[in-house]
Amino acid sequence: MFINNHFFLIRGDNLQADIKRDILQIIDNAIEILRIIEEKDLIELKELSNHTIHNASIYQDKDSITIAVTIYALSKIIERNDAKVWPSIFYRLNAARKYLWQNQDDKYRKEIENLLKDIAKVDSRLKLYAETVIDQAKIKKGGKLFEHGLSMGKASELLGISQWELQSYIGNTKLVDAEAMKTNVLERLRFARGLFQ
Amino acid sequence: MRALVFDAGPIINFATNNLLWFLEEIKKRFNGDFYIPKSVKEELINKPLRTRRFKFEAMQIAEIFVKGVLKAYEEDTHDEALKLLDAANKIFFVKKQPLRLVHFGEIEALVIAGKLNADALVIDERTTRLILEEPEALVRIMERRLHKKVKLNNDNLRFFRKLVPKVNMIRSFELVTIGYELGMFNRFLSAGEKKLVPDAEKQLLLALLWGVKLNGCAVTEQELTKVVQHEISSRKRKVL
Repeated sequence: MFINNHFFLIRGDNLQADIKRDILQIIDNAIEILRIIEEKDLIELKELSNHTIHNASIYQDKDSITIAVTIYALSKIIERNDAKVWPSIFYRLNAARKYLWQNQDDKYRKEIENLLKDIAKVDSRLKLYAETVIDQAKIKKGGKLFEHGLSMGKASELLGISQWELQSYIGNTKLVDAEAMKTNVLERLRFARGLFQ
Repeated sequence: MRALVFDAGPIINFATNNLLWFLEEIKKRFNGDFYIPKSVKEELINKPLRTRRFKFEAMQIAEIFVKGVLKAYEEDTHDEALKLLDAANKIFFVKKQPLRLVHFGEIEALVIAGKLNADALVIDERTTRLILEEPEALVRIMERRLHKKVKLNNDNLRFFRKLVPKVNMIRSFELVTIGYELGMFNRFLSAGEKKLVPDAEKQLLLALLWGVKLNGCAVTEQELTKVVQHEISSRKRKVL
């Protein structure tokens, strides 16, 4: 229902409108999921965070990437069942939705930035040294971009993470096993052997 | 002078696998120089130094720089790399939108390999390798993930290939396998260790190859199994 409204509000077929429409859809769905939260909803929320990855792979715009990271980080925070933060999350998401709907892009971005700050604040209470929930979200989404064909360096650059983190995450997944290649591994090995004889 | 050019990935892989000593050993055997692009040096030392998790690995990489195992390529390749990057990013399209798939550092490594007429480029990264070796596979990957038609612009691909000198590519996976063949890991196969670990030779090879795969080298499980079978049967033949 919301999506149809958005079609009317953001007219035109330009690139920006496509991206906005998808982000609005994600925020609407997130708000809907967060209204009455159940365990299955967390999985839904995580899946939702992948919906802008197609756009992020193609257009590589910051907004598609940021919303994907935000929604994933949100699911991790909610998983920890910290009810104190929910009112502020609701407030921020609704405000972000309103600004985007009104084409006030800068205010929308500010609201998402504040939401990420709120998430970071909750996260800091857990006192983990190495990876924050936002770092984890960035690595996960970096993995998704890699899955969509981007190189490891490119995906790290877009997410603002180091290749070290992404490489160690991707190595532990089956992402590179998904596609059978024509190149013969024994031929490559034979060539390599020749370099050291 | 013989040369191998390294992308960041294989060095990160060796550092996280505690195999930087092996890089030194294999370099002696190669009898040439090991280069990395200047931009890759930032990724290998400065960036991990700013983290808590990879700080020690960065220190160990700094050490092999000081020892001269790795050298940063000092000539300015910026403009050439940018030109090549631009060409690489106009090969694949969704609707009319070009897909920017690769990073400056990966392309810079290719440029340097060409300039040095290097014996090979060592790159663990899948996308850059596929653009050169098997662009159709990349199209398949992207179409399946994006659920959209991906167009390969053959004119731009030809132009890109013309700019890229003929460079052979290998991975940390092949380097480690060669090291195993050359006995560089035999210190893990002492009589005591053989007693402690059943089928120690095969276990060592599996440990090495899974190590590089799990630390980000783009090698499939199928490839890994094939190489293990090949290596173990070659060893058996030698013993007989």
